[in-house]
Order: sequence, then C-alpha cells, then structure tokens
Amino acid sequence: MAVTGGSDLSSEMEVDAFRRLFPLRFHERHLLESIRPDGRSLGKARDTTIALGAVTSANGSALTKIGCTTMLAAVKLEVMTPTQESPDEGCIAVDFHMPPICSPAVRPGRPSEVAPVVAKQLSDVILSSGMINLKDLSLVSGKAAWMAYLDIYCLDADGSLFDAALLSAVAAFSHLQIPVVSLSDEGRIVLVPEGNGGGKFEKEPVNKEKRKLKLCTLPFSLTCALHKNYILADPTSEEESIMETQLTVVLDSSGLLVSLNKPGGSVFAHTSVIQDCVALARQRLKEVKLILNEAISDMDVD
Amino acid sequence: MEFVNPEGLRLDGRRATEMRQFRAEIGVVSRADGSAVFEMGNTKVIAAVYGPREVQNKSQQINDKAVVRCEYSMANFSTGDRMRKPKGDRRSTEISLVIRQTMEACILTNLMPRSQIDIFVQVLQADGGTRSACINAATLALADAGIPMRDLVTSCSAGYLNSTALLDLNYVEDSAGGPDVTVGFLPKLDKVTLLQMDAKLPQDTFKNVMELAIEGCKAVANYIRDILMENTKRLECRRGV
Amino acid sequence: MEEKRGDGRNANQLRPLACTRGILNRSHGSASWIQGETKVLAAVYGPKAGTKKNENPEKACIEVIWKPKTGQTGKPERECEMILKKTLQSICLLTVHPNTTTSIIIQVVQDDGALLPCAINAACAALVDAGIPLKHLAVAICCCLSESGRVLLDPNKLEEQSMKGFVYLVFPNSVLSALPEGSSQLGGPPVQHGIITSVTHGRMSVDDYLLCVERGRAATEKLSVFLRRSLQTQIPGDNSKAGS
Repeated sequence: MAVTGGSDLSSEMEVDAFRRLFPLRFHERHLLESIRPDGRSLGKARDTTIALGAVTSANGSALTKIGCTTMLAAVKLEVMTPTQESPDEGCIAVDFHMPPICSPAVRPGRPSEVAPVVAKQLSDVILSSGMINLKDLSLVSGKAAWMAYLDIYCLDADGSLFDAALLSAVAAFSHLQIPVVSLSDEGRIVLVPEGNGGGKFEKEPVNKEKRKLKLCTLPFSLTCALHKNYILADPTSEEESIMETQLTVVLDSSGLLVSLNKPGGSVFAHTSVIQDCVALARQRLKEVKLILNEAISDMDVD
Repeated sequence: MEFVNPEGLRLDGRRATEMRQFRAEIGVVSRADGSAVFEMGNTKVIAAVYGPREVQNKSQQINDKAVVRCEYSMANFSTGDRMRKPKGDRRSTEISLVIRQTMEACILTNLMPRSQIDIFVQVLQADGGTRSACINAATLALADAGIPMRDLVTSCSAGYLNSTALLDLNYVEDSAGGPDVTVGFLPKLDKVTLLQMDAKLPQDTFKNVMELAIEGCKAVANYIRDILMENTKRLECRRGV
Repeated sequence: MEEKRGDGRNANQLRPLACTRGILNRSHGSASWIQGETKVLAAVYGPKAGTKKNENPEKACIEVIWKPKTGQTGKPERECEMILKKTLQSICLLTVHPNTTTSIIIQVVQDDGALLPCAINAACAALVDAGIPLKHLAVAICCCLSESGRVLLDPNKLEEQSMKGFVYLVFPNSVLSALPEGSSQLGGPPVQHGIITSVTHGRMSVDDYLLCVERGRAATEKLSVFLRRSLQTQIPGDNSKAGS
C-alpha cells in the first residue's frame, strides 16, 4: 500500500506504534487537548507516597515514590572530630546513586552522567536551605560531633529525579532517630545500648534530650518541563526526553525560593513562565507537606 | 557463644530447621524488562533484568547464544557500619560471578543468539544469606522478564553450629565462623547447580546440612511458584481472558 | 547614591572585561575571557566525526570538559559541565552537522567569583571563533543579593561567599535577522528577555529573584555590546557576522 503522507499514516497506525515512531507529535496532540498520555492535567503531579523507616540498618530512612520514580534514602550517623574552624558543628555528606537497576540507560561500568549532578544539587539545597542547623549535630564542643551520611538510591528512574530524591532526603531526616551516646572515662564516645533503663548505666548520656533532629524549614521542589507555551508539572522520563527544557523550583515551607534551576533548553523562560512555575510549586508544596505529615503521624502511632 | 539454647531455639527465636519469613514482589521497576524484590527476614534485595537486548560490547557477542551479565552491589547503608566503597571489591565481584554462572546454567541462552541479558542485583539490607536472596530475586526477575529458563533455580543456605544443623543463617550466625553451605537447586529437575561451602565439616554431617539446605530451596521454590502464579493470574485478568 | 562595594565599584558596575580570541593555534577555535580577576580559557575542537558513544544521526553532539585550576574533576565540575553543555546545546544549530561531536574544553585559570558565567561567555566566544553555526549568542551574568536586599552585579569571590545568595543567569542575545521586522516573532515578550539558564544559590524571596533577573537583563546589554565588538574587531574584513 502506498504511503500517502504523514497525517494519513497516523490515522491508520496503532496508538502504540505511533507513540514510538512520532513521540513529539503524539505528545503535542495530547497537549492540544490539555491532557497528558497518563491522564493527568498539565499542572498535576503524579501520585506520591512516602514510607518511613524502610531500612532497619540505618538511623533514619524513607522510601519515596512519585509515580513510578522510586527513591530509597537512608541516613547513618557516625561520630567524628569536628574541624578546627567550626568546633561545635557536625557535618552532612550527601550522595546520590543510580545503580544500573534503575533504568535501561544506565549501563554498568560507565558512571552515570546525571548522578553526580543531582548529588551536588541536593547537597547545595539541603545545606543552603538551612533545614538542619549543623550546631544541633554537635555532641561535645571541639571533641565530638555527628557526621550524617545521607545516601539516596534511585531504584526506578522515571523522570523528576531531583524532586523524588529531595523528598526522600527530607523524609529520611524527619525519621532520623539519634542514638543515645555517653562519654566514657577515656573521653571516647560510646553507644548506650537500647532498652537500658536509665539508672542502670553508670555514665550519663550526653544527648538524652536530643533524640530527634530539629528541622527548621523543609525544602520541597517541583520540576516542570517547558514545551512551546505549555508547562508540564512533574514530567515522566518519556516526557523529559522529548521536551528538553526543564525548570526546577525549590521552595521552603515558609515560601522562600531556595533554588531555581534551569539548565539551558530550547525554550526561554520569561518572567510570566517563572511565575507560573513558582505558583505550581507552591501548590505542590502544600500537597507534599500533607503527605509527609501523614507519614510522620502514621509512624508515631506505630 | 550459644547459638541454640537448650530448648532448641535460635538467637532470633527460630527452630533449627525453620526459615525466616519470605516476601517477594514482582514488577517493582517500571522501566526494567523484569524486576523483583525478595526479602528473607531482614535481608532485602532488589533485582532487575534488562534484555535480551543488543550486545553493548560487540567483541563479547557470541553467535550461537546470549551473553549473560550480572552485577551485584550493596547499598552502603545496608550493613551495620557504613561501607565506604560498596562496589567493585573482591567480595562483590565473586558474588556477581556466582550469580551469573548459576543463572546462565538455567537460562536457555541458545534461543537468543547475538543478544545480551543483564541481571542487576542491589542489596538494600544485609542480614546474612544475601547470596541466596540475590539468586531468588534474580530468578523472579528473569521469570518476570519472560526469559526462557530450564527451571526456576532457587537458593538457600544452611550451617552447622553447636552440633546442630541450622537452616537459613542470619548475619550473627553467619559470622560465627562455622561452616556455611549455600546451595542452588533446580526443583523440577531435582539437581543442584550451585554448591559453596567454607570452613570444615565431616562428610556425613555435610550430607545432612546439604540435605537441609535443599529442603530450604524447595520451600523457596514453592513460594516463588505461588508468587508467579498469582502474577500470571493477575495478568490474565487484566487481559480479560 | 548607595555605599560603594569592597573594591570601590557601585552596585551596577561590572568588573573590567577583556576577551581575546584565537589564542591557541592547535584548536579550531579558542578564547580567553577575563572579568576582573576571574579568567577562563575555552578551546573548541570540532565538529569532528562522532565518537561511538555520542553519535546521533540527527543532531550534532556537544561535549564539555571542565578542567579546574587545581585538583581533579569532582562533583562541582560535573555540574558545571552539565549546565554548560545544556546551555550551549540550546544556542547551537545542532542539525547542521549531524553525526559529529564538538568538544569544548574549559580551563579555569583564576577563580574570583562569577566563574560559571565567565566560562559561558568564554565558550560562546570560542564557538564563534571556531565558526560553529549558532542561533544567536548568549551572555551570562552573576547577580548577588545582599542581606538588605540590594542587588550587586558581577560579584567577586569574597562578595559571593559573604552574601545571602547569588544567581547565575544566561540570556540570549537579540537576533539581528535578515528577515523583515516581526516575521520571526509571534507577539509576546522579546526573545532576549527569556532566560536560557538559571542557577541560584542561597535562600531568597521570589520577588528578590525577579529583581535579580531584571537587573541582570539590563546589564547584559552592556555585556553583549562588548561581546559583539570583541568578536568583530579581530576579524578584519569579515562582515558576514551578525551585528555588522
């Protein structure tokens, strides 16, 4: 049969084949109707779930899912000697891993290009948002402080990785239980075993009251894909690969802007676009905060 | 140290021939061709299978069968102390090889010439028996990906402490220094494909321990089959058959 | 009107700029860009036959290698590479040379604040020097926000570290098109008001951010005039470039 032209071809083709062969036209056709292939409206994020305490071998952990994108974050605390410059401050080390299970694009042996960039951005956002006061991580001034290792593993990469990673990091820190420690005779920090009822232990714990980390303000982010005049909130990996322009807005719970990241892309962000994205992020912040609070209160009931 | 108390209970309250609780889930990674989570007590492993796909490194291509590759890695929060370098050490290279050889033996590689099958396993929590859990997870993931196999290979470990044969060792029992026998078993063919042991064991006791491990494998096989059946029914239902 | 900054500049004053092109004779294009004490060298190799990894039958591939002044390439450098790569991808005409790779190597000579914008300007000048087809030029600027909400342009390292936050912005340069006026645009705000790249650091209100954008946009006029002038003067008799 003769091929008569693009538009005729598309009407004869099966939807799946059309989606694979002409992804751009497939998506643009949807955008015209203000709907996305997965049935969402343009400004709507995917369903989000948070499960706290997913890893028992860590001090704080969380499993976060935004649609199919899955992140597992865990915080492990270790005692360290603080630096000379800041004797009463602890330290936070953030790392983001993309093991080859998460996506067909990540091949073993070749380090992922995205992972170190996301790690750097996460660490920037967590430190500059002022979420954690590093002084709260101090144990004995000048002698000992907590080193918090935050490791985030991407188990399923389906777009908006930064949003999911940041959410899992925030959730893991809200779940963090600081172990009780005491100062031994030699001036070393030792763990007080769990379930040791107060008076039995001869040494007084150093941090009896500080079992939970005080989080001053929580950063939440929303990534938007820009295409022509459309703004798509929380893109999937398929959408990300077609619409190359992305804009990530990070707001903290008081509404301040922590980061606005737009690395290049063929669509230019005008002021009105920025304002629209910020408005979407504000709305998303409320949703996510609710989900996180629910997860925390569920945890407290258990 | 006493690993089995006079009442015959172990440190975590199990009997000598009791396994830990399993839990498995299929299709956890949306973009993988096949994936599964397998838990044995506190040991939690996720596996994903990509393939059969084009061979990445053309020089590795084999003309009459598929190349099977496997990568094992541990999350650095998976163990008690945080690991500095969770990848590329000798232990994980060895386990990658063990998993690859075990899986390669049951995949019908000659049906998929000039292609590559990647099996990735990631340990999320380690509490002994990661090797077995990885093999079980990989089997489920391969079945989920629809890769033709001779049989569903399953694995379980057993040990011998305080002159008692113990099934499915946890981390504390594993690190006690006693013998640790890991068996990979093809339940339908009734054949052993993997057998590993460290430390010393008299021959007759070894036989008992191995028998015990095989019993464990059979229990896992039954569970895995149930999970797969359930999954197939669900798929069937969705198709409206 | 306001108090002077540490180095005697006022808030809207940029540091002295200098740009030299064609300083490396082995590369296909090169440029050095100096803003005050910050100095960056950019070299362009290509378009060359695509390596297997980056090959794309429809588009040219752009590769950025960032060499820090000392030490090894770590996470901050990877981030810069990624931002620079995506920024340059959006200004290059990638469809002209499909199946090729163009490498841009950035060598940091001296870092005294506003490093990434400086590197973007250097890369842009080097791409022009190499004759890589571009849609338009891009100009980058850094705006710094003080505790009192004052916007300082083109901060040095000391200001960057002591201030509440800073913003790196990249704007497109206006297109001087041969097409009749208005035919390339369908209403809306002019192209040069859009942001190609934005990177922020530190907490600020949304209004403060928009103020930075506005000030930065105003300052890029000066920068783009400088960029165009330095691109023209060094090619005697070359009138084909935009802006002549």
